Amino acid sequence: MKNHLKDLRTLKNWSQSNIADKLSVSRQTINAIETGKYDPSLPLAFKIAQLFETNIENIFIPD
Amino acid sequence: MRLEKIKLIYFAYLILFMIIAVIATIAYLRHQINFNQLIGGFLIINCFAGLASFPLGLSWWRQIDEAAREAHKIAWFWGGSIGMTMAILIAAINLYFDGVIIKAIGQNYHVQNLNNYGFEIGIITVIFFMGWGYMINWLFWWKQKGA
Repeated sequence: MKNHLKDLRTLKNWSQSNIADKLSVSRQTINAIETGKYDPSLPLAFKIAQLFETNIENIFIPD
Repeated sequence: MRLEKIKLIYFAYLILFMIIAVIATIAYLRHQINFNQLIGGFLIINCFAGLASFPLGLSWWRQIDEAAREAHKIAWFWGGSIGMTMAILIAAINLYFDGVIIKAIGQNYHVQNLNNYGFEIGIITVIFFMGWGYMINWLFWWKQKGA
């Protein structure tokens, strides 16, 4: 699944470590999500959406 | 307990076990203990440590994130299954070719009473292959995810 996580993160000027701390996950997990190699669970996807104050479908794009 | 502290305790145990292992191996080489006591001692220590660290393991599992859990689940299923299959394959080859593997190990490493402890060696062999399978799969999963 593709996503706009990296773009959104860059807009906020956050590093992968920053966002990992905010979401209580590891930096490796954020990297794997950003590169589209790992699809987060629904609860984590909601947390990401809440963090960026947007909807899930604005971040994640189905294949 | 925080994740960093749990990791530190596990790391301290690993160092302690390595020191014990070196001391025990020296004692074995000096013929103060025999081969069975050496291996049996290692297994007993790890069994008790494993049981004692169960609450720590539970706390660690609750604190790691979902990707880390996924990596362990995949490693458990695929690594464990492939490792177990390897052990079965070795047992099959050994049986079919009239103990060819056990004879080769006995000749190369001069392990005493190798044939008398087939049951124990079998268990250790399965754990060995499953452990390596787990570790390789875990590393492969994270490498595949670009971490």
